[in-house]
Amino acid sequence: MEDHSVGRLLRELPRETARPGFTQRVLRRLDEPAEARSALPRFAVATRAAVALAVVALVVAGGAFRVEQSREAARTAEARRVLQEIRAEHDRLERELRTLAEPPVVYLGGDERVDLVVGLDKVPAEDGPVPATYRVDTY
Amino acid sequence: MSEPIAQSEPGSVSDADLMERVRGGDREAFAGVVDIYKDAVVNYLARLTGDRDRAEDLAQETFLRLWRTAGSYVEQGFLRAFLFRIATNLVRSEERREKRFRLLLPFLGRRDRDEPAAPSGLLLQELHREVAGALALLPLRYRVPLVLHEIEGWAYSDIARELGCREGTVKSRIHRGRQQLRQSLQPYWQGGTAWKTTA
Repeated sequence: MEDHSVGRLLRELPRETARPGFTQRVLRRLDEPAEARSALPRFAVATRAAVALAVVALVVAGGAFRVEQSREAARTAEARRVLQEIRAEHDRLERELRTLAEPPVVYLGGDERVDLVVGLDKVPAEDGPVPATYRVDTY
Repeated sequence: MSEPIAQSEPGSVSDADLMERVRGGDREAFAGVVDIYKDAVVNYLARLTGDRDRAEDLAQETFLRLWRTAGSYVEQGFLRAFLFRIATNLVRSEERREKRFRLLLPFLGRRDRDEPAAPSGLLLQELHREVAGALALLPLRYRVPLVLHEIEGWAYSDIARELGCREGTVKSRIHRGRQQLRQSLQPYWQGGTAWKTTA
């Protein structure tokens, strides 16, 4: 296709004319406020709607972010509380374990100056006392 | 091929007289100006935008701006050129806004503006639709001089004066516009028979 063909094509395009009542429509719009006389009413509305939607989307996203942040903070606080409980429980169990780990003793008697105590861990196992329930001849 | 861009109907009131009255707020004179130039402005805008409805809207806005800026109009016998300048600026502003708007589209999931509806299946109409559509997609810096020269029949010198550039620049832009238009139409051209219908 040559350049002159393009020119010919363009010149052959049918000429558009204004629709009937064009002049009256323009005259009617002379008294409209400048704001309403947008060159592109539909487009301007669409643009404003798009901007409004974008703002709403940002606000919603910001709100969601804040909600997520507060949820995160609540989750952290809960985790800290549980950790405190676990630590307290751990301390309690450790104390119990320490108590249980102490060797058993038998208090034999004493006075104001001396307590007579037998540490059962010091007694050799084979010679040590045997609980009565272990002795079949008890019965 | 080129026609003078100043236009007054023989025997009718001149543009200068009409615009003098328009400056004074004479609506009847303004209606006269609209009547004289409405078809030219609508056709020019239809070729620039490729959309008949947008052209009509923008043409209305063009005349409204003429009414508002009539005070700044200096009569030099180029009312048509003055109107076309307003129209071109409107299209330029619109395309700028549209470009910004397109940036938002992916976030909104909105479809882009529909293509102009296809006319009936007649080949000639199909050809016109293809040409008008391809023309509307050219960059504005090529589209404006091409439309002014090829469709409106303006001389290079008039276009150069209107666009504020040299004649050589106008010729170069028109040439590039034609080239791009030819490339755009090439696939259609090779596959179709529409060309024969215009002969």
